Amino acid sequence: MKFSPRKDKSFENFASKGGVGTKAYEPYLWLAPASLVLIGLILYPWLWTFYISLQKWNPLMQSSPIFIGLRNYIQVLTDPNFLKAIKLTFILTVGTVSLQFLFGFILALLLNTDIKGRSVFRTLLMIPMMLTPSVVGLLWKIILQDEMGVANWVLTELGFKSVGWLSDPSLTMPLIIMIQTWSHMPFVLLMLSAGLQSVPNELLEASKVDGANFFQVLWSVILPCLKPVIVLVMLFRIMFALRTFDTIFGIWASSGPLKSGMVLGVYLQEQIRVLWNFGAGATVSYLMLFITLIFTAWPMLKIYRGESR
Amino acid sequence: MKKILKKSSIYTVLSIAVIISILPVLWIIMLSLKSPMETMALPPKLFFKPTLESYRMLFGGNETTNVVDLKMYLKNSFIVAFSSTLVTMLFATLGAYSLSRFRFKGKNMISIIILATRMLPPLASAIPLFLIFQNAGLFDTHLGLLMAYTAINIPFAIWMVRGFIDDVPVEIEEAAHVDGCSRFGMLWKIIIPVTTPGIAASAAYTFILAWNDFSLAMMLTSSNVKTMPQVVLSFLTPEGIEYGPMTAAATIALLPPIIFIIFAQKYLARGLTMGAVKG
Repeated sequence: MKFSPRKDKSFENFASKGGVGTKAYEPYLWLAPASLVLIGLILYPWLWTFYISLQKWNPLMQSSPIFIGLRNYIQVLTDPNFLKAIKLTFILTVGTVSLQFLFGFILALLLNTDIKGRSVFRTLLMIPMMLTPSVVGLLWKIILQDEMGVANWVLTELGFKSVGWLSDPSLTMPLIIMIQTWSHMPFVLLMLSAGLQSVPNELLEASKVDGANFFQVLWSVILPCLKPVIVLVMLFRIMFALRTFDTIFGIWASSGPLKSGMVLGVYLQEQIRVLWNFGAGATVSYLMLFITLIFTAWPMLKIYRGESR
Repeated sequence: MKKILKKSSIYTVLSIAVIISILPVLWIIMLSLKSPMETMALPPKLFFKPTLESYRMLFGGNETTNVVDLKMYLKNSFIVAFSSTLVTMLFATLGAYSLSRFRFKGKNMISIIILATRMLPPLASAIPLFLIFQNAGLFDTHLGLLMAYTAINIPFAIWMVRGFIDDVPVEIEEAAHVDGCSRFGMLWKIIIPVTTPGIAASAAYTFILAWNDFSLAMMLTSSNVKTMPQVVLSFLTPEGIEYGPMTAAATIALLPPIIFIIFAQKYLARGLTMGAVKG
């Protein structure tokens, strides 16, 4: 099934009829304010960021920028911390996006049955979705505090040993994956629920009459219908998982115990805000863009194809 | 019998999921309503007399224990989020109308580029913005943050509003066109009234994104225009943590997103699926 994001309702005849709304420049004029903002405050800074990435520059040391070509890229790409950041970001992205899908899909299927109180369940499940990410970090920090946190209190009351949630380096990544899944699963649930509602009922009925079991229906009716939404959700979730920063900063205000939570977002923040290493920071930005492109090229292409159909 | 069993297991799974989703949030709200001395006391008292003492400390009610004056930061957050939402929605609606209703060269390319501007993390354009703002006197001002948030939020807003405009049948406009209505008149008198719920939901979404931002505010402000997320985290000082006021400030910061989700999620699904779901 092809990705068909929207019916094209631009009306050729109407637009070419003459009278108002016909001049060739008019569509661009309507887009001008938004485009100017995007060009001036996003695209132009991006180009500038690339130029900075070719310079050795640390404003804290009062040095003026020196052009050094691609040396920042070599330096960053050979920094063991950066390579570790790539590895951790990869683990985080794969881990949290697949868990978000797993739980989001199961809950969406359950919400799509004829149970009572569907909208109440849906609303309550949605709550973590838009919470301020940095405050989400803080919220879990309060709950998981080593000594004062309620999580460890419950564990010890139940006769278990308390766990160093926030201080044990080996728990850092599972913890971040868990928290990110907690806060972004609702997004997947919301989108997949919307997708499920658009699966034609006749199709489902027909396949039931034909004696297909649940998994057969899931595989050959529901999943194909959901494909466009799944592509879009993948795009968003991967894009945002790759830049995870706020929540981690909300918990540790650093890269965690023994740098065990040093994902790319945190690495970037340290280069810019802690070391004031603008050249290297800009370089990391560009490498992050490159990595994001690798991960999202496929869904973007799908959407583009659907658009131009 | 089998049916009842199936139903009750569905309810059980959903209830567990709901508990996991909301318990951490409820817990923090509960802590904020305890007296500041008992906020983190263990074992935690589940039944207690709620008090607003922690909140009072945030608003200068008690001078001896006054931690920060939250009023200023709340005001900053509201001013910046609200004004940037206005500008974002104005520009995005114009752009979305163009993408929805006109057929022109480079349309697909433009809409993909617009979406692609959201590819980089906000911190990536922060270095140049920091430099530009320093030179232009926009660093640590409301106007500077307004501009940054508008730029960051326009792409999503365009895609969302476009989806809502796409849902409006073109025929109404054709009729209006025959009656000599201008394009702008069509947008103002036909499209906007019909899509008000969708546009309102997009605006609210934009507001929350601006409200939630931490990294850009960290880079582009120093003391005057600090926003809520920064202040909530600032209770984490090496000298110790004021848990009472911190949980109260966190609750205040989380209230707008919670209210938003409860009221706008219906439209959010429609807007965010960007037409990938045929409704």
